[in-house]
This record gives sequence, C-alpha cells and structure tokens, in this order.
Amino acid sequence: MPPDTTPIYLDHAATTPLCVEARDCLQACLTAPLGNPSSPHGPGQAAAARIATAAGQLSYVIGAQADEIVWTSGATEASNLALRGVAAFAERGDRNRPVRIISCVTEHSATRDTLKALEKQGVEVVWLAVDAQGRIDMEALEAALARPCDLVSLMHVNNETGLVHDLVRIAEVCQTHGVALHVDAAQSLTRLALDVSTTPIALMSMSAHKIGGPPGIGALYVRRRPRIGLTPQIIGGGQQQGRRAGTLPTHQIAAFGAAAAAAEAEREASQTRYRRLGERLWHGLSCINGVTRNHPPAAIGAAPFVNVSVAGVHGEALRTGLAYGQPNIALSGGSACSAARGASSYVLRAMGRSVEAAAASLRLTLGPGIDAAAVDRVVARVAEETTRLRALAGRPA
Amino acid sequence: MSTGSVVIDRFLTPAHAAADSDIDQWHIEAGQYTSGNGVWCWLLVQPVYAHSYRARFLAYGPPAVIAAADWLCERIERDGIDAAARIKPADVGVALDLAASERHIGILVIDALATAASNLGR
Repeated sequence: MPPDTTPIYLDHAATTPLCVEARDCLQACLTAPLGNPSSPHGPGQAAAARIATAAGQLSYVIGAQADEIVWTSGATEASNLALRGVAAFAERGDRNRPVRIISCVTEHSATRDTLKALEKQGVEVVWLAVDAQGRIDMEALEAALARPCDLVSLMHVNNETGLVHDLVRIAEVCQTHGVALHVDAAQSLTRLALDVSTTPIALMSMSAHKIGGPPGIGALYVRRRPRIGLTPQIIGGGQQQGRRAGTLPTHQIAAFGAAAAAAEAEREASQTRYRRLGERLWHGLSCINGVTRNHPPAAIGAAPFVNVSVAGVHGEALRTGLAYGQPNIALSGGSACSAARGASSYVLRAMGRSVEAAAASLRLTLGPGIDAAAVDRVVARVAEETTRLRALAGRPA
Repeated sequence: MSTGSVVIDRFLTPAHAAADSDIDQWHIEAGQYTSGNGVWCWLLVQPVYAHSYRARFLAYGPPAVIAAADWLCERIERDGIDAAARIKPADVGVALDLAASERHIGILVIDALATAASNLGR
C-alpha cells in the first residue's frame, strides 16, 4: 500500500479551519437580503437580528450579557482597545502618577507590543517574569499590586506552550486590590471553561478564527457592572454604543456566534480527545534523541498544545523540511505573529531555554481532523527529518 | 521568511551532501568551516584527475544554506575549482533567487569555497 501523503495540519493555535456551522452561517448571510444592521428598515433589522443572535451565542459561552460584547476585527484589536482604552480613560482628569499596568513577559505580541508602545507614551508597565513552566509568581503579582495600578493584563492560555494561567486566583487577587483584569482569551475560548459571571474579569479579548470561525472578526467582553472606564479607539459612528465605530460585518459576526456555539457544545469531548492525542504525540516525539519538552504538564496545560525543542538541527530547516516533505506537515516554531518577524521564541527564552533551543522549537497544536494515525505519521516524519538534517551537518542521528 | 522553490528543491534533495562514509573515504580534502549566527558550511573538495573535482558539503542552517552549499558543489564539479573561485556572493543570490534577507548566505558559502581553493593549492 502506498504511504499516506495526506497533508497534516497541526497549527490550530495559529488558525483553525472554518467549521461547518460557521460556513453554513456565512453562506446564508451572504446570500440573504441583509442590510446595514444600524438601519431601521427590514433588511437592516434582519441583519441586526443575526448579530443579536451571535451576541447571545458568544455571551452564553462566557457567562456574559449580550450587551457586554463589543465586536472587533479580531483579538489583536480587542486587546488594543482594552489596553489603549483603559490607559486613555485613566489619563483623563487630574492625576499625580502615571498610568500603571501590570502584565507578563510571555504575553502574545498583541498585548506585548501594545504595552511597549504605551510605555513610550509614559505608561508605566510592570513586566512579571515567569518560571521554567511559564507561570507567573503570584507573590510577585501581589507585590506589584501593592502600588496603585490601573489594570492587570494577562493571557489565559499561552499561545506557544499552552500554559494555563490560574485565572480564578489571579482574578481574585486583582479584585482584592480593586484593580481591573484584562484577559487575552484568544487561545482559551471554547477550549477551557470561561465564566465571567463567577470570575471577576473586566475585559476579555476573543477571536473567531481560533475556534472554527472566520478570520477578521473578534470581540472584547466589556464588563457593565462594576463599570470599567474605556475610551473608544475607533470613532466615526455611534455603533456599539459608541464603544467601537464602524459598520458591523453581519456575516462574520453571525459565523463567529455559530462557531462559538458549536465549539462550546463539543468542548469537553474534543478537549478529552486532544489530551489523549497530545500525550501520544509527546510520547512519540520524546523517543527521538535530543527532543526536550517545552509544554507544561497536563495539570497546567491546555490539551491541544505540544511544544518541543530539537537539538542538533536548525529550527527553520526542520520546520521547512516538515512543511515541504511527504506528507506536508503544517506546524510552527511559535507564534505565527512572531514567525512573521523571523525571530526565535521570546516565550521560550523567558522560560529559561537557550537561544538555540528557542530557535529549534516546534509548536504542534491539535484540532479537528487529527487522529492517532496522523499523530504517528507526524512522529515518524519528525524523526526522519531530524535524522536527515543531522546527517547534512555531519552529526549523529 | 518565504523560501523560493529553487531553494526548496535543493534543500529537500541535495545531490552533493557528504555522507558519513564519504568523509572517511576521502584521502585528500580541503575545506573550511565558515560560521556566523549559529550557521556554518564546510566544503570538501577533492581532485579526481586534471582539472576535475569532486565536491561535497556539510552544513547547518536554514534551507538556503543547504541549497547554496549544494549549488556551489555542483558548480565546482561542473566548471572546476578555478572557475568556481570567480563566483561572487551575489551570483549565489541570483542563482537561488534568495530573498534580500538571505543574501548573506552567499558570503558564507563563498568564504568556505575560497578557503577550500586555498587549501587545495598547498
């Protein structure tokens, strides 16, 4: 029997294929006579109704009210709105101190770069360090909160390693100190249980294309009570109660809602399956000489993530060899957003890994369509390509 | 970083990679490690008969390094060491359609070739 050369997609943390529910919803919206959802006529109200349905679906998943959802172009814009919006609001009026925000060195570049830009504008940012697993020190957070602060911004699940921050405890600490918490939930929405009605989160960034929805749409949860001050960053219309201007993309929003509902309905079953497959994948990779683990133990890790470093090979060569060999394997060395810059993983470096290990890392993220046979083929290919590249460098396999 | 098809083809199936057994059997070799940014290239050049050479490489680096080393070995075998020694880094970039950010790889492999040619003359 000829070898199975079907491409294998293991980059679900970067983006996910469109799910059936979202695709059907998109098609329905694009062929229906929908108007501008802000218009009072029939077609406009039909669009508004679809957006209301999506808001209901997404808010149900996170335990929010529908009017606490602000639609954005994605999680990056949502985080920009949260961070810049809070900073701009806090700067209003008389202040005797700069705006102060606490975050972490392993945040996604959407948060990291936005905070670095705010630092240049005078905002004081406290960067919390992480341990070898990627966890923040809760005592360091408490110490940072001892001084007046305007916001804490942390991701729920790290986009490279799958490390799950202890959000419940972090939120409680923030609440105790009376400081609002922004959560980047791009990697945790519908992968982990999220409930803003029981966890005191003020702002939460979400993305559609990480959960089977279309790219180009995301949302920011903005808590109503107690109110969080947020200055709009996009103006030019009164849409979304003035919180984010611009005509709403009905088809994308409706598909986001459909994807969220579908993924949430499958959450427990799918995450259990990914946990099993992830353990199989790690077990296989760990048998390759020189492979070390970067993803955390199951107790503090999101199920779909496997992250390893491979000694004795150049990371870009390994990833390219896997991408263009047979079968094609789509994976990444870290964040797709960082890959665009050609940099080694700052997340792994912050966790204490060497520059070489950080550069020679593979992030494999599981999703729909991956089964045990596909996992075994990936392990075999990584072993084969590693051996080939080491031989090209005159090194033992 | 986007990688062109010329580089990918040579990277996946280099014709001039030195096998372990290859290295042991070479009685005369001339080469040089040229390293930078954790990337290196080692060329093995052996005279076969008058003006004819056999060339192999060992390399560690991104696909473009493997491809450039393989291309250079091909040129050495086809044109001889003297002609190959006239190749410039920019020629490597053009031949492999390297992106601007990969042009330094031409310097890496040409440095290795220059030392290999020098060693052969000793």
